[in-house]
Amino acid sequence: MSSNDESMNDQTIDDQALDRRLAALPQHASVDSTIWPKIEHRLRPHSKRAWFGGAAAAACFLAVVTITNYNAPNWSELHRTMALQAEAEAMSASSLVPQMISQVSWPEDMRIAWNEYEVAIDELERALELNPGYQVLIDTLAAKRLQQSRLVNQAQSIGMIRNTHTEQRPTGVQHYDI
Amino acid sequence: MVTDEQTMLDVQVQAAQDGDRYAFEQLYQAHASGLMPMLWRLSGGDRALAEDWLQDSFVLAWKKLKQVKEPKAFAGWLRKLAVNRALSEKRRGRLESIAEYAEPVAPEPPWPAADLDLERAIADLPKRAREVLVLFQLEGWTHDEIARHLNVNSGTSKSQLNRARSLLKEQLK
Repeated sequence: MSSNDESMNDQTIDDQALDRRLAALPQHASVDSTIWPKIEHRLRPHSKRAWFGGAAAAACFLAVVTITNYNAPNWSELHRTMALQAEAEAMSASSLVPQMISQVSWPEDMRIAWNEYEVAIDELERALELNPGYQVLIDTLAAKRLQQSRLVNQAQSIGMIRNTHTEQRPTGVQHYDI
Repeated sequence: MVTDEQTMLDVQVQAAQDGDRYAFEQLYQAHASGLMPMLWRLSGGDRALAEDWLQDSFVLAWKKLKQVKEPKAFAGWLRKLAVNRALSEKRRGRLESIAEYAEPVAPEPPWPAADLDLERAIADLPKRAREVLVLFQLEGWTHDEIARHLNVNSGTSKSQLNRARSLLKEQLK
């Protein structure tokens, strides 16, 4: 056997030994038990939820801001509606006054209330002439007129005053407590 | 003849495809241990990286599970997915950047290795030689398959295998 043949023989033996050792390497190994929880965590749609939660929070914030800004004119609108309602009711009630109020035999407490409203309304009207457009005065005047008109309605309801206007008024009209 | 094991695999794969995470966990428990040594070797003995790849592979498998038409093909499909994950990371050069800053330590497989010298010698191989050796010698891929995955020609794959074997024999003398 030549030295070259010996070398080839050694090489062959080394290759075979390497192949045996490679073939004997384990193909399975236990895996760290902490890996699955990490995978499971990543499988949960939490990132979408977080994104969605963030978006929802932002949407809520925008909604609150929008509603707040949107409600401001609404409250003002409601206020104006109340004032108009008070004016309408007050006008309706006051239309009775010249013809009927003097003929009404008011109970004492209602007469006192009526007079107090009259005084307050006069004062408010004078104040409003001096400060035209002053919203607090307008609102207070409307409230007083509404209260006065309700007093008239109350008198009607107990049969002390008959008024065709109020009898024809449709039911279900909303009243606002001021 | 259909074995109970095959029936179980069919049920688990189909349930997982329908979104059953418990069934997917069963698949993980059955197959993760078969991927770990391969990933550890491909990573060059970087256990943390191999575990990252294992995680990524199963997360990807969950997302792409509908691709599996036949449940019995699941194991092979998953294995290819894991190899692709490992090779794609290496193509981005993550290993090089880690190796640049990491302390050189003898790699220790996360299992009781009967042939620690050989495991370490494989881990120490140059990356391309190591990839070819693991895929050809341990995973049974052909040179053509390896060449496609590594974007090289099959001659290069063969020469890298010879290089790897020579280095191993030299190392293990």
